Amino acid sequence: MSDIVVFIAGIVGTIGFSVLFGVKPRHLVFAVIGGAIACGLYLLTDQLGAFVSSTIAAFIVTLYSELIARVRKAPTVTFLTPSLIPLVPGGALYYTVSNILSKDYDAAQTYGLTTLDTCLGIAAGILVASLFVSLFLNIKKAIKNKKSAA
Amino acid sequence: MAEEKLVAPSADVIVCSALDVGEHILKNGGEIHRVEDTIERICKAFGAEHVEVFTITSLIVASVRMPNGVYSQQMRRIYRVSNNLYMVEAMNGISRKLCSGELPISNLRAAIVEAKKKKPYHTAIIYLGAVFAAGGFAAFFGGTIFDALCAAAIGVFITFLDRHTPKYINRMIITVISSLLAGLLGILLSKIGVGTYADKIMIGTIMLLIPGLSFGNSIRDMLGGDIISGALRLIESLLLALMIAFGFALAILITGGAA
Repeated sequence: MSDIVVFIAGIVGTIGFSVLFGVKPRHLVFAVIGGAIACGLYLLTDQLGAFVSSTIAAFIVTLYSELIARVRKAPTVTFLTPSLIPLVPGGALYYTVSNILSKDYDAAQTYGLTTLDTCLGIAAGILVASLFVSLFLNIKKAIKNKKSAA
Repeated sequence: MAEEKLVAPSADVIVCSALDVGEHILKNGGEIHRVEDTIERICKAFGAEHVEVFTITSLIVASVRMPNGVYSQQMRRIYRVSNNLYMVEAMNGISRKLCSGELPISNLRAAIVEAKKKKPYHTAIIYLGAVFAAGGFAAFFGGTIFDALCAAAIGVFITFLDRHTPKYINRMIITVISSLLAGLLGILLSKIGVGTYADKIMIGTIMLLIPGLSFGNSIRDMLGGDIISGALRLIESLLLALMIAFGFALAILITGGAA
């Protein structure tokens, strides 16, 4: 039950960010779907740890954004940026700072590492997905060249 | 077509126009490779023989050689990057029209001004966006409905600050001040009993300040081979995150604890 509330809250937040980032109204639904995918994956894979969880979510969301950007004929950032927002480790960053201030260094370390893990995870996800996309595009180009040569 | 080539614009005009388009893509949150690609494409479309573009987050340098041996080199300094993804898309469209000859190069300025005017959302809707964003993420990170409402109110305040601070003020300082005020307001609202958890309210507002776009873009830049630009953006977003942490830490220290 509470997971559903969290999921909906994430979607509401993504809608807000899409508007703040100036995503055009006609792309809004697709940007928010990306955010919903990210939220859903984040909740489903939570027990796998911050790194794996954010890698999976970032990977899928990047693939989704690249695909939708081609379908909707708009820059990839239009969809990728709002979609990645739910993965941003705002909570972990906050608890790192607040635990340092209350001199609970063990907790601060844990949260600090979670923040770092999440950032690295997002980076890894984007990286692998972008590699797949560029590989796919190169193969497509090669096939096209071969066909026009024949 | 032959006639068009005769009245072709000078190398200076071509580079200047291409830089105009590139500048707006970079300023509004586009990727580095998109900026360089667009500039090169526009220059080539107007007959440039050789194009060199180098872009980092704060500077674009472009050099063009025309078939008749005329050179032109210009640069653009970029001061403040913001998130206006509709502008990236609009510039993309303008660039495509320029290259296909649909839009004459003399009308480029007017087209850019036109695109700037076409804001997709009314100011009220943007504030509503801030309400959704801060409130939604306060709840997403485990806050109650009251926390979400508090975060939403602070979110509107932060967005107001962001939109009305003069552009020449250092972005780091704005971030520290915004985080400090957001932290103070969050703690205050939870102390007087409107919100339940001060930490959840603050996390909701932190999300508004965090440079999510820079981080995502920096990874994509580095992967595309623009290591310097990507590293610059990465350092910038890390510094901003540090400033956010600093602002909230100050707020917690001043009020003597968030709990």
